Amino acid sequence: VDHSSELSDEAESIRKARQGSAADWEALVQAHQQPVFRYAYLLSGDADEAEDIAQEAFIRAYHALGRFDETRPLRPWLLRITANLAHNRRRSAARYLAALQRLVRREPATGMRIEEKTEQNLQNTSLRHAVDGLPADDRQIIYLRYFLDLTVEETAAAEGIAPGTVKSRLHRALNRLRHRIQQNFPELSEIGPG
Amino acid sequence: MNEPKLDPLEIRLEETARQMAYPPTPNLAGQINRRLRKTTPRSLAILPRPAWALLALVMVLLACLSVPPVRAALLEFIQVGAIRIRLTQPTALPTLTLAPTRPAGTASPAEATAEPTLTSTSSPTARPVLDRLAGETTLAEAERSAGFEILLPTYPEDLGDPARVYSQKIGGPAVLLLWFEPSQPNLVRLSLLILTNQTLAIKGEPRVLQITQVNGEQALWTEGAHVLELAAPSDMAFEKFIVSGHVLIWTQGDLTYRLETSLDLEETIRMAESLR
Repeated sequence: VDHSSELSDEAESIRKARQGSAADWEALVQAHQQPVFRYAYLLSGDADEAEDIAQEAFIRAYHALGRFDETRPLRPWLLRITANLAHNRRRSAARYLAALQRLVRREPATGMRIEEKTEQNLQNTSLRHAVDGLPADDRQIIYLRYFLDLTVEETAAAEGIAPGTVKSRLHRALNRLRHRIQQNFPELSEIGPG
Repeated sequence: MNEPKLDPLEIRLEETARQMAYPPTPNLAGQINRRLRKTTPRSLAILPRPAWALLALVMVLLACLSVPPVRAALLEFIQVGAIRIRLTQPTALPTLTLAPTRPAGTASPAEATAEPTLTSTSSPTARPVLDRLAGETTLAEAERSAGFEILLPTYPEDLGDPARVYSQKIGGPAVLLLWFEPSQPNLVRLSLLILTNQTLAIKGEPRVLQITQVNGEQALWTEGAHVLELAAPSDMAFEKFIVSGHVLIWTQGDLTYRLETSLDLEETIRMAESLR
């Protein structure tokens, strides 16, 4: 994959979008909507909320496009805006009630396919829960690196930190995850020790 | 460039990521373009957004109030304390009870929209979602920061103290108390939200909307899914979400209480009147 060519095409689309080209802006949204939505989903845990966050992230990006350096990749910047929005919404009052509604619905966990009940899938679910319980900084860096498959450099840009700091933060986050697994997720003990 | 070798935890994280069942990514481009097209023209964008929202609201209201039938429809709402329920249809209020406005099993447009959302967002892993909420505290600390005494239900007798306590600012201080089902700790048995000066507007009618009493004061009872809008007067921001449980709303002194349970009306009132 020729990343420099992709970057150059993207920079051109950004320049045209800035000048008012709806088609170019739409192409940029199409190119990045999946990782932005998925990151919002990972951070919020709710599809509706993730959609709201993703929409808002693109709207804010559009209005700030004039200040964006188009020689840099757009995706980490979009993911950074997404994380900020998700963080702010997490503290909003409505989220208390929205989360509460999910709990009181009392819908039984039926409809689960047989293959989803395999031990490995249950372990993967437990691992998700273990990650979910980490501090926000740890969660974010794990999601970016492993779930969204960003490189160290892209993760650094999305977090606004140096690449070296990504490595040290990732190291600390994984250690905290191991500790959490040992303490609270005995079913994952085989992968817990470092 | 060679990536360093992954350890078992990293390998499992990547595997979990690959098998992660994400909801389908919505087509955001169309929605975003619609929102961008609605952007206020630059020459009008001098006022901050809340001011514009207020101005637009006032103009719409003034225009609508000049038309008698619209005025009747617009002004028809019920309010108990900090919580307002808007009625979508002009309906004469009986003295005590508002009967269901349509036969059970039929849905208003709002409900028709809401139900698929309820299904699609249902999650058997809801408790971790709650674990991420900010503001969890102790009863004593919540009482101190809210500045009012937190009364707890003494009925049923085995209820005990809430399992979770959250303290937040929703316009004014607000406290949310949760009790979990003893046999199913992933489920909330009841939730009690205590508000001071915040307004919760129920947009669209729930299936059942009934005027009742708690401790001799007017109260409201709702059943059925409906859309709630949470309005923060300070910044005029509205947030929408879905309610599916039974809700009793009443006031006591300066406080508004919102109790959500799966109990029937009689039991819920008994619980509300047991606050001590």
